[in-house]
Amino acid sequence: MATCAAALATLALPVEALQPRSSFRSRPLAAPRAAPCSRRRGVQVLAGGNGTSPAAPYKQLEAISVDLSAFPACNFFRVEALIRPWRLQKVTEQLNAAGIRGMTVSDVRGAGEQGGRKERYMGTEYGGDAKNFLVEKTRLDVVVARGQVDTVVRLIATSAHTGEIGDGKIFVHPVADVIRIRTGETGAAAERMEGGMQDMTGIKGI
Amino acid sequence: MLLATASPSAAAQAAPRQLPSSRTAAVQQPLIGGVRRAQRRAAARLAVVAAAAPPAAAEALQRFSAFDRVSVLSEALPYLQRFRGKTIVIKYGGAAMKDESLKARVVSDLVLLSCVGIQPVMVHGGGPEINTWLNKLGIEAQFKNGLRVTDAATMDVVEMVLGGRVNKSLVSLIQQAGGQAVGLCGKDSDIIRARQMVEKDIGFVGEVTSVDPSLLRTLVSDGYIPVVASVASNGKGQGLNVNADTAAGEIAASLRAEKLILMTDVPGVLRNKDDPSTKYTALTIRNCKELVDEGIIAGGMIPKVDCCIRSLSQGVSATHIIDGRQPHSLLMELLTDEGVGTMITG
Repeated sequence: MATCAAALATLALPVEALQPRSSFRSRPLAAPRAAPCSRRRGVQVLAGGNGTSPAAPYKQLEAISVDLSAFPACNFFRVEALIRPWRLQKVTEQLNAAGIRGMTVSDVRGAGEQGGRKERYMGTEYGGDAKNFLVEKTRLDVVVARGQVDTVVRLIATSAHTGEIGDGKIFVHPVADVIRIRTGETGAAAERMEGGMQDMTGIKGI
Repeated sequence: MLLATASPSAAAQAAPRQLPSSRTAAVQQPLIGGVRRAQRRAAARLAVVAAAAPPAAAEALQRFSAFDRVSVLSEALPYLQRFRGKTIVIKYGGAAMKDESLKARVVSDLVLLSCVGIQPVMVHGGGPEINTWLNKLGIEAQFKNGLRVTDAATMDVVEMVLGGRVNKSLVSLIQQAGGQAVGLCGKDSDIIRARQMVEKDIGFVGEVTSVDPSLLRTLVSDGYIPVVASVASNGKGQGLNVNADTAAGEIAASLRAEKLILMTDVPGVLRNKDDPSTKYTALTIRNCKELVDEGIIAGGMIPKVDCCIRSLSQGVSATHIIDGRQPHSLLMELLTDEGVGTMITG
């Protein structure tokens, strides 16, 4: 009932109890995830089930940095996120709060099956056979300047994360140029949104 | 005529006082029938009220004036509006299932929700009842890691007790309280399909593979309260015993329910498991994972929280772990700010 903020206020506990503890990082569970260790993860194949694969801790999502070194001269990038449809509102709220004011959303269907583990959608298992293979997802496209890519990716990843199989994927593509049709502006002027992230945070995109 | 002869005393009383001689039986019939029906209805209502309101609650109510009661009722308006037309899946079990007076109150809560335009769906298990009947039949109940070992004979009993006894007794309670209940098990119209968890080697215990909500949708949109027993079909005629929490979670996901409410025997998620005052009112998935890592959420709470996260990730807006032992815990959770349990959201 209570909204999260109100609920936090009414908690009988200190709020810091909810904050991730510093000991969290030193937990043995976190270590093997940071190091590439695909063999061990491969063993964890189970038929169906819930959260059988270790989900990324939020700390890790918040520290994601995107490798753009293959495109040293490229000023703009398109962040393409494929997420669960009902997480869209949460994601767009977060992006809007951070000053990302331009985005495109489309309904898509897709599959992303790993090692026979099944995704659940509407109470039903998906993946494995041809009958229930494609799952409904939402695609969110955001074109931003180079310096804002990390922020946007982190925001999307943390707000779309549930820890269950089927949370989605994010792709980052290079974009050659941006044109605003109404004014005919191109490049940085067309990409920049008045009152957007650059104005709010001072992070110059380029 | 038939009616008049069936109850001569009532006819004799009514006829001479009102009508001296020449009234036809056709006029008297509905009158007598009406009196009887009213008596029957009054008796039924009395029985339900007596069961639903133990002395303590009645005393508490007496302290309020009529105006108090009406103003409290009108304060519930925003909540009623918010949940109107929304589906709420309630997993019913634990202590609330054993205690008759709690049972009656859960049922009256359910009927109230349904009356104000909320669409409740009830899912139930019934472990203790199954044990009783296994005992009577001389079959020994066995558990492995908290899950019932279900051989063919036990499965028969599970299906009979859940689908027959527990399910129908809930249905008749709801009917008595003035609701319209339809008792189903997961096999009906293949609502729940499951696959045998062969890897766990505990017999006919199933993992939900798919849920077909079309029958539930039809019932709910026509104002019926579906009561679903957690027995699933495997598509080949074999019944499977499915954990009722999981079944409720998946049914909630399939209906894209507004809420999933798990009625348990604990006050909610507690920071210190012996101190109910350290209850979390609201948590997010993220909080839950951190609490699991810290070891605060442990033991039997883990599968409950997992079940909540699993249905949250499939689009259920909020899940609640509430104390089924408290009277009217359902209404408290839905219609007040504090609630009686822990709400987990995405």
